[in-house]
Amino acid sequence: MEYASQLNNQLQNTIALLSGYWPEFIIVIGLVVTLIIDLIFFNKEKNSNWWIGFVNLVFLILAFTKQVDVYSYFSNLGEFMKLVLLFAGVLFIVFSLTQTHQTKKAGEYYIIFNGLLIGALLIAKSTNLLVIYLGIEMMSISAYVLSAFSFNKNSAEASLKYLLFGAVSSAFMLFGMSLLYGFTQTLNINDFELLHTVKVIGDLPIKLAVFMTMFGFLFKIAATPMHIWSPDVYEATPTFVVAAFSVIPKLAVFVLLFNIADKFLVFPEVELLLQFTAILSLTIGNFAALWQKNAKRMLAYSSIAHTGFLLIAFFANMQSFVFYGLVYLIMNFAVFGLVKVVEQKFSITDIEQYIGLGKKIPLIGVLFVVALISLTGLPPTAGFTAKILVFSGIWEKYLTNHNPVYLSLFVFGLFNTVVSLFYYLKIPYFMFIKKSNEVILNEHKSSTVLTYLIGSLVFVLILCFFLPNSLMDMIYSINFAQ
Amino acid sequence: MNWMTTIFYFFGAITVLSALGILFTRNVLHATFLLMLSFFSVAGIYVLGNASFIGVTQLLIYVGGILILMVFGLMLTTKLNGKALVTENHNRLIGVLLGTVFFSILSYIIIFSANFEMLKSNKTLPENAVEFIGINLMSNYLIPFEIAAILLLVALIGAAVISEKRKEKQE
Repeated sequence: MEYASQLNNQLQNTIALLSGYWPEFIIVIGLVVTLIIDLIFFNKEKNSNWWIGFVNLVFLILAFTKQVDVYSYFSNLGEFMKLVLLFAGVLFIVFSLTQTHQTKKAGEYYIIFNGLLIGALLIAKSTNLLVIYLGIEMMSISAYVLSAFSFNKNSAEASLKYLLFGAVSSAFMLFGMSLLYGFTQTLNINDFELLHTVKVIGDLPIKLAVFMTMFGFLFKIAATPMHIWSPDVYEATPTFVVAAFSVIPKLAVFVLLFNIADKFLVFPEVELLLQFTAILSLTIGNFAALWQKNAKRMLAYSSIAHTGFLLIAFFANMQSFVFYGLVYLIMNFAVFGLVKVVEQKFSITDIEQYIGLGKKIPLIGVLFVVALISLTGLPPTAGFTAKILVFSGIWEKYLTNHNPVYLSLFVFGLFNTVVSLFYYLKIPYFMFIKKSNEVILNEHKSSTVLTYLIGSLVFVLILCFFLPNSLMDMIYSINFAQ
Repeated sequence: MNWMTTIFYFFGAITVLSALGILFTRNVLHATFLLMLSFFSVAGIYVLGNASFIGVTQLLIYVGGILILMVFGLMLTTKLNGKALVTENHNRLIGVLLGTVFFSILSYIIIFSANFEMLKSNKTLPENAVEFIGINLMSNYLIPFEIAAILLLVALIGAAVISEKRKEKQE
């Protein structure tokens, strides 16, 4: 009798927990519905691609509205960032909808993207090692498949590379997690008492376990030295997918870093590792980007450098991280969208071929300039506001505890902002300033809807510079105490 | 040394030796069978450690599922040219060095500096482990269980997309 009531309690607890998972649940329903639609209308309906994308968009918007409810209830960082992630998902699908005639295997494309999104949402939400691992695997496996979606030799190679690197890093992470579970005897990170465990087990083994776990997390945000996969993958993957790759997994894993910070960063070595990674990512990302000829490859290195900035924001404070993350999302979607427009119009991705494009397509040229200025972090764009917030945050941190590491983060951040100016402005330089010998490029039709979408994103970037208050109010509604 | 310990070391030795064999053989079929041996003895270790359910699942999934699939795959692909599938080794020196260094770090830290004596838990295993696992999967661990289901669905669809035969379209 007692056993039965205990079981009843357990079930009641589980059901109560499930209500927090509504957004994920809606996306899963969307995934299954897409699968069924794809099976029924495959190759029969001419507009099936469009319909599949539209159905997905409806489900994602439903999930987004549900997440607004969940956020108003919990209002912590994880739930807010889930809103941001869902917003990125909606953007991705809206972007993809403008290209329906080109999307290959639309059904699977959206299904696997939904898998990526669910994985990211779970990582941002959970503090249970098992759920975190499953979320990371879901995100990674979807990413391996999506990076093969150009269906050519390069993308198969990139996907395989990604899979091999990713599998090794997952193995490391799983080993670390299993050690952590063995040492602490709990899967819930909130119950970890690592300093206490150190007394019981010994110092080195626990640090090893934490380091190995962090290794897997750092791989997913493409922080140096675990960044080697990203340029190849970014170059060969369909451009919109790259935009999603550079935002969704990164932000999700950063939220995870915040969730585990007060448990794992009790060791000064782990903190030092993260700070060192930040400096290394900034420097290597920016300097490698200087030599790149392909626009997507250059942006891959730029996103590695931005991982460094996000890590600095991680050490500065949560508000500046959220602001930077949001702005980073908008900038990256805008820039990759523009690369896609040019790719579609003239089928080029090399920067040197951008020569003279500023006169042919002035609107896109101007949008490019604004988005890239924002990525650099210059006024009048939101990128500037974001960088100011991050730098002032880290400077305050330095003034309060006089740790020289914070000072070096500050100095390296500033220095690298200057370096990044050189490669970001390469595109506008080729588009507007460099004189060309009238290269004739075949012009194709490109989606005007997409251009307007990007235009509105760029407008938001400028708006957030002049009126950052609305965004800041939103960010300050997060309960940071948790 | 009582007989339980002896059997444990026996299984351990088989696991390690067959895993090393996978490294050194270049014939993929031999490697597959050695992997099977390795999985079998790991299952034996699980059973010795009172985790009989995991032992059985190990046999069912790895030996019964994955390895049979690999053997079938090998059978079907070697039929094409009639020769045994042989792999090549690259970067042998760096690989050996890295492996040795990593192994010595791990073994130093985990075996020699971790104090496992203190970890001896006083939890007793439930009498019926399978029932316990089943109830927990459906109550406390329901969410990870369902996530794993979706993960497998996505992976299945992904594998189907990648391996699907496509008409070569030259643009």
